[in-house]
Amino acid sequence: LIVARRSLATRLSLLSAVITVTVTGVALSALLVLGGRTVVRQEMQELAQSAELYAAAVRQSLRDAAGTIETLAALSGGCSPVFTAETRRLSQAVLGHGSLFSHLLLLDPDGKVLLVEPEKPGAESFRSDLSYAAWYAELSERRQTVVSDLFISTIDRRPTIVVAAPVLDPHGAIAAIWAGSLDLERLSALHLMPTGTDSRRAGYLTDRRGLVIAYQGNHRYVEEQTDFHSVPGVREALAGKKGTARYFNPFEQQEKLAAYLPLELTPGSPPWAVAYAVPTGYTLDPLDSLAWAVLGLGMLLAVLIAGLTVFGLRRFLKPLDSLVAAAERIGSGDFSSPPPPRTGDELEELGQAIARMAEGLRRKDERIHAQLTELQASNRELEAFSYSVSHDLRAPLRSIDGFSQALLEDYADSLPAEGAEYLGYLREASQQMGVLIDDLIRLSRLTRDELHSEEVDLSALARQAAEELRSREPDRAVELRIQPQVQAVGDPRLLRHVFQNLLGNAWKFTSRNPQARIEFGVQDGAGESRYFVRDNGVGFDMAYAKRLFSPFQRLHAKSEFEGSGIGLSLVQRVVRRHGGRVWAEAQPDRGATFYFTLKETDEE
Amino acid sequence: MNDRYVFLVEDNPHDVKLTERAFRKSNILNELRVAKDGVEAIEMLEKGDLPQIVLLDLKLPRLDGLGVLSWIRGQERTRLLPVIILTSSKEEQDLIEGYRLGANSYIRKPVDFDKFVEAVRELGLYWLVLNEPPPLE
Repeated sequence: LIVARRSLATRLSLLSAVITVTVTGVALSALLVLGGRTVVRQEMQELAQSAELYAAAVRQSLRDAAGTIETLAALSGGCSPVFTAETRRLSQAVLGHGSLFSHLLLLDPDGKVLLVEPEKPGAESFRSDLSYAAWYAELSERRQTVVSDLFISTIDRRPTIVVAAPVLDPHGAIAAIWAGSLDLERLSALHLMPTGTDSRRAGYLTDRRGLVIAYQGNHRYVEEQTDFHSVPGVREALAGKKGTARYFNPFEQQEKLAAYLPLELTPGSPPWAVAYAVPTGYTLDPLDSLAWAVLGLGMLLAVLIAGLTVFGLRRFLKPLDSLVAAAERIGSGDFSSPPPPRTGDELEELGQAIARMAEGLRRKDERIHAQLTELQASNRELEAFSYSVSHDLRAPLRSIDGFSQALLEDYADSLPAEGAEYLGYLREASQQMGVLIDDLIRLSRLTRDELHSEEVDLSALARQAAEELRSREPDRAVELRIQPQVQAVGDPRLLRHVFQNLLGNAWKFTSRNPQARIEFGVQDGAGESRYFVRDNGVGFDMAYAKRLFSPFQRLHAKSEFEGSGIGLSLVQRVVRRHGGRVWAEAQPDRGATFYFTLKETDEE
Repeated sequence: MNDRYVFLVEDNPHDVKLTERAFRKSNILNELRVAKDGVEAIEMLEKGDLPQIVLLDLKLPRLDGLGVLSWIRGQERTRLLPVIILTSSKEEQDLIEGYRLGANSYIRKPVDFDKFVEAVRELGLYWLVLNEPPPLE
């Protein structure tokens, strides 16, 4: 019982745990998918804003830088390039004012460097020729302010961008060129968030080829002149498109969320790319930790619920103990109905049902008891009746027979032949009735007597019955085939009647067959042992087989074969008392076989 | 042959007649005295001399055969009398009780008169001729 209940609790707690885990899992997936989507969307919006702001800041800085150079050019006021103290003082003032420039250069129209500020120790750079530079060619052609692509400065061997403006003489020819080399480190620091906040969100800038010019908080890409043009966001921006994307950046070996936009320095010229990006993980990590927390909580909840289920179920099912005890008591025949548990639930209902069942059983038991007593009484009456039948019914028969005999002997002379014949009938009838009474009493006794089962040698019983028959009619030639060693469990005293009757019948009904044969044996059929007695006598029509075993039924005229008609019903009673069946198979003039089974008691 | 009388305890007059006839037919010449119930049987045994044998029916008015048998075995004077139960009953219970109370023999009266005569003849031959009764004191 305890084991059964435990397993009920275990099953329910497992079920609840599974449900909890499932619910948690579903909630988790929803959180991860929907929440992830929302977080990414929000992040993208923020990134787009940041990108716009960053782009604006960059644009403004470059405009300022261009403005500075153009001012310098304007101040040079159409003069031919002169290297004066005034020029140097001017350039020093520009550099000292927290500008983005690392160097300022003054070039003559042919691209020869006239001045480098701050001055470099190596004097050779002073006379260097920058006419090979792409920006010089562009400026010479367009005669207006230009911004170069990234290149390595010959002055300090570092990557730089040059902003240059021409000094034009009154004829509009280039008299000199002012150029400023941008300190890209300072550009990278542009618009940088205060340290410690959002440090992993960063904007960067590439030139129109895709080379990194500025990268917030990570100058390495600039120093290494990394070409970002294969990065999807950069590629899109260089193509003039603006948007957001989630992609893998091969240089940073990271998945990124990014907003990008093109930055046009002058209308119509190929744009630079501005992007603002953050590692996806950085955005989604908080969500992941939340997911882990939810998962942990779910597990904890599952364990808690399972535990509570076990505890609760044990507690709620406690009254079952008394109910089981009650049922056991009822099972053992004690019908005193116990009070049902006052739990107010189904268990109380069950308790009441058990109590009602006990009451019903008690009433039925009483009824059965009363009936049994009645039955015993009527059985005793029957016994008394059969006693008186055996005693009192026989006395008159004896008189009829005895005095008929007396008449026949003492008054033979005065009796006509017919009278003597009638007296003979009287005697015959009374003797027959005597036999009938004896058989009836035997039949009723067989149903009454107690059964004493033991191991019985059926072959021996068959042999004994056969020997009795043979001794009664030693002149008859009957072939007897009795299978040896047929064992069964039963009451030998009762089983003897079975063989006396079955073999007696076979003996009787083969009397007209000069080659009479009677067999006894056993065969297996449908998992039970079927014992049989077979003869080659007159047999009978199977249409009458059902009536065979009823008392006083005869299938043959009395004048043909003797018998009271009670033998087979006696056989049936004995076999039934042994829990078996008896049946017959026969054909007229082809013999009959009687089968019977006995309950296989060896297994018990 | 011993010529003391045979004491028949039998309430059915027909059976008495038939028994008398059977004795006659079997050439048993001993006197036959009859008691019609158990009480009468005891009175007769108390007052008169003792018979050679007692033929005792079981189902009797007033006191039944087993009662008579028990009385006979209880009396010093009669306790050695040969008592043969002659009855219609073949109930096992009667047989056991009869022998337990000390019956010398138990014979069932057959319906067939010829068989009855045969039984009485054999009974007479054995108990009246062959058997040596206990000495009377």
